[in-house]
Amino acid sequence: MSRAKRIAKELEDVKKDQLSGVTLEMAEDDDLSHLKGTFLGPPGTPYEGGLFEVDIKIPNEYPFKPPIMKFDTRIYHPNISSQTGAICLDILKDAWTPILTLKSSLISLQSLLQSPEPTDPQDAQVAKIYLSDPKKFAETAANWTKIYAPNENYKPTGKEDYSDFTKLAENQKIINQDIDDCEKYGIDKNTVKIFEDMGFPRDKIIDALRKLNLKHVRIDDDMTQQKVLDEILS
Amino acid sequence: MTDDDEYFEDFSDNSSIELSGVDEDVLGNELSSVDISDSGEYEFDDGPGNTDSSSEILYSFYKSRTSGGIPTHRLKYRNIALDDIQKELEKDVKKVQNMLQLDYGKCLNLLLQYSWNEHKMLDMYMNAPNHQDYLLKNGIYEAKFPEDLSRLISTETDENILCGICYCGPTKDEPMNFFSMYGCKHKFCTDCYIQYLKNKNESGSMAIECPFADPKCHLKITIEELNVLSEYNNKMEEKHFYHKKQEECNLLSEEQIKQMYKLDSDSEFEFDEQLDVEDDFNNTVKTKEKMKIDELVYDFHTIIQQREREEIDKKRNRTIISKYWYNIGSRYCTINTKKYKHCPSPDCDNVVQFIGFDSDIVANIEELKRLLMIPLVRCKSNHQFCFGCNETAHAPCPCKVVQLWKIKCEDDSETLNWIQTNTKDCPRCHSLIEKNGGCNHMTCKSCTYNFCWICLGDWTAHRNNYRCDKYVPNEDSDVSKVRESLEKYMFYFNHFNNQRISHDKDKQILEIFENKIKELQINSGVSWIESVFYKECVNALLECRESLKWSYAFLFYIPNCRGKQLIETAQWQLSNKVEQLSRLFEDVEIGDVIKKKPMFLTIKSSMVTAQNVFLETCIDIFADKHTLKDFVQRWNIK
Ligand SMILES: [Zn+2]
Ligand SMILES: [Zn+2]
Ligand SMILES: [Zn+2]
Ligand SMILES: [Zn+2]
Ligand SMILES: [Zn+2]
Ligand SMILES: [Zn+2]
Repeated sequence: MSRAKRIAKELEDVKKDQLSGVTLEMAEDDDLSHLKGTFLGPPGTPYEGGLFEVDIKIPNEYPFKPPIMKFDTRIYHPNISSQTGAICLDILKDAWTPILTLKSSLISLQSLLQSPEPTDPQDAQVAKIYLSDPKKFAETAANWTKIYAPNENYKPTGKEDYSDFTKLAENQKIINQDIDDCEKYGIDKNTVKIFEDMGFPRDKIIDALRKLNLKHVRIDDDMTQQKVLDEILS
Repeated sequence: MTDDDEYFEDFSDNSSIELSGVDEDVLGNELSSVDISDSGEYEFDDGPGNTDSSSEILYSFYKSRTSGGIPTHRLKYRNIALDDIQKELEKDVKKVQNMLQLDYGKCLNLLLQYSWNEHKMLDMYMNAPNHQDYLLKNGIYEAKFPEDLSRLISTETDENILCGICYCGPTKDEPMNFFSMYGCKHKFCTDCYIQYLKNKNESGSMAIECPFADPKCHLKITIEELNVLSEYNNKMEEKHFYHKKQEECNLLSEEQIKQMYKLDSDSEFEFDEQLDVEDDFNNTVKTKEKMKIDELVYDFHTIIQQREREEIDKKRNRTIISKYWYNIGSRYCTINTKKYKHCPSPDCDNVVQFIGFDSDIVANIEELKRLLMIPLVRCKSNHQFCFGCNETAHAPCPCKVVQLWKIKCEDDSETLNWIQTNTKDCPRCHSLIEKNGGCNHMTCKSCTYNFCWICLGDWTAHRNNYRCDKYVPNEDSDVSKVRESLEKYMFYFNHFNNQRISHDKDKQILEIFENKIKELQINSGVSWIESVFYKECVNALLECRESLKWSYAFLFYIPNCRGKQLIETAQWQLSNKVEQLSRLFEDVEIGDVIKKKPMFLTIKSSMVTAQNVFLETCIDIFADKHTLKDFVQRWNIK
């Protein structure tokens, strides 16, 4: 009912808007629950000049539950799996709200390419290189863009300058070293936050999680949370 | 057999098994309730449930000492409902409300934010340079709510308004209702807001934020505002429900109703249990026995309507607001996990409240666990679970051993896939046989060969009729140690898994059985009360199967020794009774059920006795400090 109406409206809106560079279409005829979206690689990044395709599955509870998105185009990025295209982005998970749209999600993906979040990586291997060797990272990412995300309509500007992009990586590296035990042990930040909110100190939480060999606990997984609490309190 | 097995030889000789029935004595001195909230941060002056001292104190085991005189260190507990917790939490909120002079729901949100850590919350509040900013940061709009919050819902006709979620808007002819929180003016249509809250509720969220996202609005909905939408939603659903029911009711013809109740003019009245209106209806009939049929039909309608109203009430118990409180209560139990456990049965509203121990030496759950005791508790709805680990009952296997076993099963699951299949070949004629009941005595349909499901051996070789419980190491084989240990594991796993399968199959058979009982009630006028005994038998049977299942996991970890033999003997007695009862359920002609009631009850009570003896034996074995220490060290149980 309202779900179909809303998706149809969203498709229409994207079609009308030529400026954003975002496209949205049904993957198969008359199936509003499976779409394909594309957007352009942001300028000044190694993804410039690429056209990225995203597979979009829309759950029955949409828009109250987020769309399920993954990259069809192979991409080299800390928050996107280089193997499966799975995406790690908060608004596609807990931070989703029904007021967000497919278009706004695609635009969020675009800005994710501009500013990666290496503390919350999807592809740990890629994230490691991003932090340790930003120049090499940018080269590889640019290479992948040329190979996997070619865009016929793109007119090269001539200069390939990713200095802003690599500078960001350098900064993140510094901040990162200061704060993050989570990343060191591969523990999900939001998981730590659940227990921090209960008033437990961070180091105790991380200790307990490490002892139980847990990297991630779902917010609604009371069973596991209780085990962690038992461990913290023991 | 390895050398270290000898450690286990050494336990005091208190293992004589006495087949005593129920024990009434309570030897342990009644300790006053032990306060285990040792970390000051989580202490509450007046914990939930404490005020209601009228509810009965229960124990985790049926007697305080085994027949061998070993203390069982029982956990003392009380059954409460999630609602009781809510009542107590409301007191906490009121206390904060008096201090901060804020609306109730705002205080509730603050407490939620700080996981009921009142001191920390107040500390932060008092030290904040600007209270208004502090509250805003926590998603709270300071200004006091007006008297009438129902005005948060407004009926709109302006065609320029559009709901940002469904993209629908009102017209002059078709107005729409919109809702926004008091502190922000982000309006969404009531349908969308309600759906949004229901979805958040389902995922267990509390202090839910406004859906607006550009930029993200962090205002949190209060219980007062939630109530406005919940009430509105109830009204809408009720309307819808009555509308639907009205249609259904009109479809039922008088003839159908008569048939449902077999209302022939000369026959006795008999009633269909399925509709669950029997009792009320029965009473009606008794007082108006000679009433004309059409009058009865009228009465039937009245009863149905009354039931419908109750059904609505029941639904209301899962309204937005009640589900929200359910989540809050459940989370509270998680935070105060030492004191409260929310029953792990799906959607069960019951809570078990820890009171203390019936023991001189045990002061907390950890110490109890170290003694390999299992604090089994039952919620108000009789769901049995372990207070130690919040898993379904797993006696006689200690909590830590359950963990070890689960890990082991996961590790070895690949190689053992074959075991999990539910079919086997007949050992004589090789036709495929599917296990169809819980009993292990199989009879091949093609060649009538009687064999044991577990070992595939001739059934007559199972001397004592139901015996096939013992792992006998193959002394002659010169297979490597690794192989032997795998074989040993497979033996116990096979039995463990077999009990699991039997448990499921028993359940299936019992469902069929239940339907037959219903038929019986209709066809031969057996009253529901007369047949209720079988339910007790069913519950006892399923619980004993669980005990047996876990006993195999436990035995896997106990080295060969005399203690193990004693456990195995007691286990065999239990298993014998379980199979007897299971077989009885499978074989009994449904018409004979009432006639065989004494038989059911006799087997059941001897099964329960066997279970008690079995559990006591397990406790007795580890009463010896050396045995316990060795066991704990061997498996590195902390
Ligand atoms: Zn709407
Ligand atoms: Zn808002
Ligand atoms: Zn329960
Ligand atoms: Zn347990
Ligand atoms: Zn056969
Ligand atoms: Zn056998």
